[in-house]
Amino acid sequence: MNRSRIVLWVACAVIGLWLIAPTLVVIPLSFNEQRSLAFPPQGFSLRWYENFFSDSQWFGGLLNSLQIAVLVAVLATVLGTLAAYGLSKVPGFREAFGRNILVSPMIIPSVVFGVGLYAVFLNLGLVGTLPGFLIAHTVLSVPYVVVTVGSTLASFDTQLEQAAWVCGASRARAFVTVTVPALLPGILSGAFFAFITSFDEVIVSMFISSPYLQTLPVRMFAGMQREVDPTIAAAATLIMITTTAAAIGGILSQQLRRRRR
Amino acid sequence: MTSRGTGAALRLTEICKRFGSVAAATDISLDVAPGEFVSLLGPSGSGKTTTLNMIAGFEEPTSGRIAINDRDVTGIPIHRRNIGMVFQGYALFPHLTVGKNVEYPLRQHGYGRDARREAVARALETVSLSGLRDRMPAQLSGGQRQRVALARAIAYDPPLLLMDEPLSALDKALREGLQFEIRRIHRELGTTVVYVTHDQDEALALSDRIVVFNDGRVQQVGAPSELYSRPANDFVSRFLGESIHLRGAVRESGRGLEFVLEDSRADVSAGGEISWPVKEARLGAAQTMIRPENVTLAPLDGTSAGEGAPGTTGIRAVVRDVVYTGHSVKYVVECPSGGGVVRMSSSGAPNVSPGQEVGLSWDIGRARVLGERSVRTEADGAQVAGAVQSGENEERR
Repeated sequence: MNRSRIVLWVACAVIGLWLIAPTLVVIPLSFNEQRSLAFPPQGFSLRWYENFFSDSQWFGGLLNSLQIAVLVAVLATVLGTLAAYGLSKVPGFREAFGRNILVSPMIIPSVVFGVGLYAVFLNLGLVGTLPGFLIAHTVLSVPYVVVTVGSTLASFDTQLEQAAWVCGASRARAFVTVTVPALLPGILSGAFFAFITSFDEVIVSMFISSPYLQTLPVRMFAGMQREVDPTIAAAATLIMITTTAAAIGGILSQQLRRRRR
Repeated sequence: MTSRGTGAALRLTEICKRFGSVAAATDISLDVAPGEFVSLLGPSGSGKTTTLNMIAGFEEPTSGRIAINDRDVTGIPIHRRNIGMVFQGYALFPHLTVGKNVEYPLRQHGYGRDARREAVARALETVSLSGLRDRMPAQLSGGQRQRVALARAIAYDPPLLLMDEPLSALDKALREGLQFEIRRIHRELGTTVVYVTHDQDEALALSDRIVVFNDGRVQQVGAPSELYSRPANDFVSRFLGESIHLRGAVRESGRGLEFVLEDSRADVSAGGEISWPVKEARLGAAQTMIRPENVTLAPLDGTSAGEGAPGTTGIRAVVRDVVYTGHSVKYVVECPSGGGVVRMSSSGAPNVSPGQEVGLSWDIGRARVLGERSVRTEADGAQVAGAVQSGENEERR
């Protein structure tokens, strides 16, 4: 029994390492003293972080990404929650059809989506604009909210709403004061995932960005073409910290739901 | 008893509810007086919950009218019907404390802060939970949760209180305790209560009147004692309590109508037909129903049952099972014309064993004649019957 346990642990450790090692390699690289992305790094220095925060292209990219991701999280959460709630009230085929349409951006190849969006945005003058990014990223993020809120709704006791109505609350009031608080764990975790989806989105963003409005991942891609220095590793580390924090937030929201039982 | 509010009058007029081609409730008419406690009793799928949902407003009737205090509420949204409701699954808001749960309806009805605080304190006191005001629902036991739900439902003194099987999720001891509380609260508040249950004992214990449902229709409406002693049909007699059912027929005799037992050789006192006069029964196949406490069971040891006292009659039957239940002994009996349950008080219960032949006797005035149209299954009367309206019999004198 003990031996098989050890084997299991070793196997898990190897697989885990295999999954996260490439990510972890980036962190020491960003502290490299040399102007090189060679591993292992040599010495220790913060110069690439200094470079990142003093360069308006890098730092501006980070600010753009954060702004877009926060706004997208809000938009996608509101729309996705309403969509999931609406779907839960619709029976049978219409529910399945609606859900599949809403979730399809998760499955459709980003390149296809990006080309199509670029064609439309060119005409509308939305390329390289904040509204353009918000529209594109919201479409990509709504599925995550629909899924997380939908799974919370599956265990939602609809009698709670009936109880609120009987207590004298109108449908809208009952939704705000009873349904939303009860769904809050799912809504919060959906918001975190929407944030992550927008924050590290590259492919579609490359199509719709312009020199005037670039997100951080797009800036990194552009950077790879021209100069390769550890600033890109510093940027990657910052992205990783942000998305990890958001993911932990999402997981904690799910815990909140379990504790309430 | 001082009552805080006044109950509402409720009137249902020929309500029907269809889901597609399925009729969930048909021609439900009911008048509930202010302050009355009325139970809707029936098996699952009998239409009682559908009817309650239509009163609450969760379902709109396909046809018919619902009026609360002479105001037609058909089509009026739920939140403007001014009702309180207790749900089977408690339905407490999980993100709010006990106090905030009870306060919720007061907020919705626009009570000021001081009025809210006072009403919450009073409602929690009424259900003896004053100390739990700041707890979350998840920290409470089932019985406590249902008390909170009750406090929330009565907090703003609704003139009409609906209860949907509020005790069925609780264990027996808790159930009886809460039954007592509900009776007390009803007396204190004077609210009109409509109470849905499938538990006949609960309905008998709590109600001023009971409405018995089956197959989406009202079978009978009446006070508990009336339903028990004078059930309108086979279904009501079997659903409310134990009984013996015996087949027979109603025929005309020289003196008027009489009921004749199907198998009259069952007569204990040797041969002859067993019959007794009845009033207003339909001619033809029928059955008679006798409640267990009105039947005397005695072993056949020379002196036969059915003899002696005038106005009594008796038959032979075979004991199928004997169950000791503490205060009484339950005998499952069977005879050629039917069977059912007899109960004798433990102190006077004869010592008989399954398979033994016994004599059963009863006062003919206590036997009720019902129209016969039932599907026979087991001798203990545990069966579902498609019942028809019956006639009246002799016992009303």
